[in-house]
Amino acid sequence: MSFCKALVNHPLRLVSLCKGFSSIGSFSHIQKDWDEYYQPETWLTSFETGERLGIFKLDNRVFSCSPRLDILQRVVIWQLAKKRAGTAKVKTRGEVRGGGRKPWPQKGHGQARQGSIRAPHWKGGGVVHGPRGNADYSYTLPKKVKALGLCTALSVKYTQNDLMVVDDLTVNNNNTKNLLRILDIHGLKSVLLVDGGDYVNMSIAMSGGNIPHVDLLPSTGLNVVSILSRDKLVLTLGAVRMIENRLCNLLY
Amino acid sequence: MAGAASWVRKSIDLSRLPRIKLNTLQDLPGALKKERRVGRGPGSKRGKTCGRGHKGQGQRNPKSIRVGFEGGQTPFYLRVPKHGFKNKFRVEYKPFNLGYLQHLINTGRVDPSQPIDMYTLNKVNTLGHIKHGIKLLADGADSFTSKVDIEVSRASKAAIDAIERNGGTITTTYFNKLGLRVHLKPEKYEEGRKPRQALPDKYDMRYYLNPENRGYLLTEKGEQRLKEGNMAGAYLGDDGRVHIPGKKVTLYSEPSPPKDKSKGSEEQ
Repeated sequence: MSFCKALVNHPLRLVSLCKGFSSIGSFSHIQKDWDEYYQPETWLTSFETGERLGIFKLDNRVFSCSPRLDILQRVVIWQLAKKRAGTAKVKTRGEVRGGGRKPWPQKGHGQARQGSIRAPHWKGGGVVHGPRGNADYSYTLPKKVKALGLCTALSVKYTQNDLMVVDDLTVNNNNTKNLLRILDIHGLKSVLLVDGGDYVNMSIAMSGGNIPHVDLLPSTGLNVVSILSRDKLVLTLGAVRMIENRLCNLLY
Repeated sequence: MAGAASWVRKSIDLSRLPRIKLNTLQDLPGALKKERRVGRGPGSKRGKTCGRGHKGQGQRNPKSIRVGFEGGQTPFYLRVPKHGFKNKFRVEYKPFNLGYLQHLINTGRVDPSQPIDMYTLNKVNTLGHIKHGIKLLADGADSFTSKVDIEVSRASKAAIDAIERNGGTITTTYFNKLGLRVHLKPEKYEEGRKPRQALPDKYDMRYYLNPENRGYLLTEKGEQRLKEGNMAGAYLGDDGRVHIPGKKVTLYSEPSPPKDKSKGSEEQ
């Protein structure tokens, strides 16, 4: 808590920790341009009480980048494709039960010649070129496209007033009822809560793990589909810093 | 709404759109090509022959015939004997002109008050891939007015003149491919062992020991390198050979004079 307040008192320290990356070598003129750009600001809110602790600046390259909604779409499609298990399977004519016997003799019946009752054109026959249960639908998307997709998703949330930054996600009691009360203070129903680090903290995991329309993620697991599938996005201050650092490192 | 929003427009105002959600996303129109479905009946335009015509190679072969195949006749690449070769030891320096250096300085991409080397030139990101090094050439030397301290692989005589006329200094330094990589991308070698810079081979040694070329072997740094490479005090003699004091070695000798052909013809 005191750590957060110290940062709020020095808002310039929060402004893009990643600026150093653009000033390597002889690119100092580019950094000058960045400073002149509009810098998005946001309230820092106390998660437990809902009071406003201060204003601080966000990185404009992450939280107000140009709205490439097509990139957003491409990242979503990639994520959903990657997620597919690929276990759908149908039976071929060899795998369908029966059909070993020739239905009728080759000649003399006035019927078309047939070899099996499980041939693909028969009712109840096997399927040709169906899924075999070992499909892999994943493909690779360029790293920078993925990063730009995440930037766009964050920018969309920021611009549409769906982003909230809080000091900390710890809850006093590991208690779902308590968390619901807190979410009610903020007016949050469909929400993704993002904690800084590799894991979400224990108290929020215990209390928020079983609420419909409430998702929990550590900042390292932040992704486009999770952001877009909920109305609101709540980030901790630590998560904001980690995300800015990671994305600027990748893109600039 | 979503359709209109999906065009690449940098000035789009997201705050006026309804909430962007998974169900309203769309790619750019025309970003993906529709699959061509063949053999779906006469109304579909690609019904009976599926757009492949009647009979023959075009109908039966896969999508394309292999490159160089000439319908069964002996193809060109088998008919003609092999000739020529590719020299894998060929060294190609990136041409870099004084006029362009002046342009980079004027536009603020290169700082003339600092020493300029291939690392800083590579960082400008406009030279393209530097494979073996940079050769400084004198195109645009008339308009070159800056005083610079520059280090490149090679330099033309006119370029050296132009730099020194303006009061600058120039050094030509040898890098082999690994050494150049260490020079251009030092961040790759921050951890672990950093490879040492190699000395030039016996042919390049001649170039970099020549004061006319402002070779680096004549500077303090070069002397240090020579010492490390067990060649301390190497110098270029009047005979065009590289001599090393204390050793009976000359690293480079002139090619032997051509044989007298007229003498041979007389004998026949």
